[in-house]
Amino acid sequence: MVASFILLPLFCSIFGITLDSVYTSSMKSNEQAQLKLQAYALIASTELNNETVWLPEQLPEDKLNQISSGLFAAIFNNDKKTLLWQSPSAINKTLLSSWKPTPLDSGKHNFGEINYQDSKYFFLQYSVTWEINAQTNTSFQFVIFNQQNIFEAQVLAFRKSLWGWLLAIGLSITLAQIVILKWGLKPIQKVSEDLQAIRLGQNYRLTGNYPAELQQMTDSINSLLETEAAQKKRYKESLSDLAHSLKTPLSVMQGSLYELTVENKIVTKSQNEISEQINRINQIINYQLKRSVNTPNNPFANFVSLRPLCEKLISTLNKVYYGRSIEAQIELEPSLTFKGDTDDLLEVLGNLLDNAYKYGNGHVLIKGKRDNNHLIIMIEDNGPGIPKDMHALVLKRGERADTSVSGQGIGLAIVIDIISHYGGSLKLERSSLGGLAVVIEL
Amino acid sequence: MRVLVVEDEIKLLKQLENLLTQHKYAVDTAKDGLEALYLGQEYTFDLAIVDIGLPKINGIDLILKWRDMGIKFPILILTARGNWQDKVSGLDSGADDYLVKPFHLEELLSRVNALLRRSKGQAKTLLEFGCLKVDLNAKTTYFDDKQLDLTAFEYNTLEYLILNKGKVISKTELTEHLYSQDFDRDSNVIEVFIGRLRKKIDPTGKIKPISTVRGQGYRFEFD
Repeated sequence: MVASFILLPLFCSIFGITLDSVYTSSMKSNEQAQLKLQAYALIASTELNNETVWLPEQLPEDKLNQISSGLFAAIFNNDKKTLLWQSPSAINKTLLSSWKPTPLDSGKHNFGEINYQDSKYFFLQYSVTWEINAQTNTSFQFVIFNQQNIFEAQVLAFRKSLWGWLLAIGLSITLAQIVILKWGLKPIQKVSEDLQAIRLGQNYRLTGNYPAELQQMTDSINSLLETEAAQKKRYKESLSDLAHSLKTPLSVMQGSLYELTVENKIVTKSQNEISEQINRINQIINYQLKRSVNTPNNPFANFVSLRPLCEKLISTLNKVYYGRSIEAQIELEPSLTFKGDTDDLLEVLGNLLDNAYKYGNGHVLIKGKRDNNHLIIMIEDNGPGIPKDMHALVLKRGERADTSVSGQGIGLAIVIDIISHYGGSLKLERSSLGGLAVVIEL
Repeated sequence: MRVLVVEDEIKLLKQLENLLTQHKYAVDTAKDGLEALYLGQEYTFDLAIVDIGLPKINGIDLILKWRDMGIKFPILILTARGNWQDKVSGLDSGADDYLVKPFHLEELLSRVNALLRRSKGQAKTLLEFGCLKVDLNAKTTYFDDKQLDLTAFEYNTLEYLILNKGKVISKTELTEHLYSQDFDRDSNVIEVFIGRLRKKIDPTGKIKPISTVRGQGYRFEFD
């Protein structure tokens, strides 16, 4: 579209200039022919009287009789360079007194332009040689001048009309082009809007009525999207099945261990060892399962709205921590979104909020903002916080700074892992509430 | 207290049933979602433990269906993956707490106790009524600081009446909450329990906490 907007004025300009130049040159040729005819008429009216010329008082061309008509003529003696005659219209024309006829062969003419006292003139010189008697030939030069004001007015009128029409045609073509392009690009625009709707999570496939030319492409995109979604679903389902089939036997083992302990009323070293190994296997399964669901950098990743997701998590955690009367405050703009997988964000915020509920002292705050294309989320609590020298230890995979509250110790490690997959970062700071502030940048 | 356990892994189901029975709960079990849906509709439970990955109807759908029917008992979900999507959708569907597999059976017991206390609006675990003390966690009863020897049914009758303190509880309601469906229910047995219970918890006959409301049932009262 932009290319056609540049090309059209360029084409119109070149066309206009060419037409202008053709018209001017044709007008000049016409002028030359006219002046030539005037010269012939003048020659025909001229009578030779010795070495001088005689012309009737009333010339056939009216303009030559009228003073200041712009058309005037003169006859020079070519050899003596003297002015022999001038038309009545040439009165007051000082141009003739300074005019020096250029040498020209007999029967030849010369057409040209001259600037004199702020006026432009066309002129045509025509040389003739007449025989005065058998021995003497005298050469005369007929010069016809025509002021260019009429010519200029005509050219100006032509130019006005030419450029006016060209502008009108150009604008009409541009307008028509916009309409045609809009109409022509409408299906592509629709595909683009539908793709955006998919990205925003409002739709799962391209559902519009597209023209036959685009149908093949949209069908391919749909099948690609469906395959991707089906694959993702299958992947998640098989991960769930795998988790179920691995964790349930672990539960049975743990239960059997408990029954054994109740039965024997003592805990042996081997029982402790088995229990430890069950925990280890469980941690490995948890860590690997949660890692493998990350799918960052997906161009069709949804924009996940932060606020409703946090509200869901808070309502879940309020149920789980019922009785601890924890006040959770969400300070998030409704427009704040995260581009990525909902499950990943749930995992990050779920683990961090769970920690804030667990270690906090009844007050949890979620803040967020967008800063230079980065999403910054802060999760704060009013618990004891973590001393600065312990931060590195806490961030290390699988380690916990406080062993007084139960947990599997991999929550934060999974959070860091997911965040780093998205190219983000996590920092521990002191909260304005007095406890820990976990700051994540995505 | 009557608990429904829904788990498709038979061994784990058996372990949970044994554990809860040992801790004086009346336990019903279901191996799939469909069976659980039926049991939840037909019987009154005080709590349900539901595994998310169930055959026929999955755990989340089962809870949604129960809640749609107006069934209000607290539900503890067991999740294998333990991801937040499962936790959020589980609790969003109407469950009250979650436990991630593999879990320690002690933790399951403490979650079950906490949920039951929460549902009955009872925050404390040790209740005192003069000389009579009841530890809801340990499921033990003391009179004058001496532990009483109550059978599981006797304890459950007492606990149910205490948790519904001030309300008249019919024999049918008591039967429903004390027995799992495998038991042969005979409401006359309740009268025998109540008689024995009254003697055990109030040997001196001073406090008389359980009163009979003629034609309606029993009420636990303590001023």
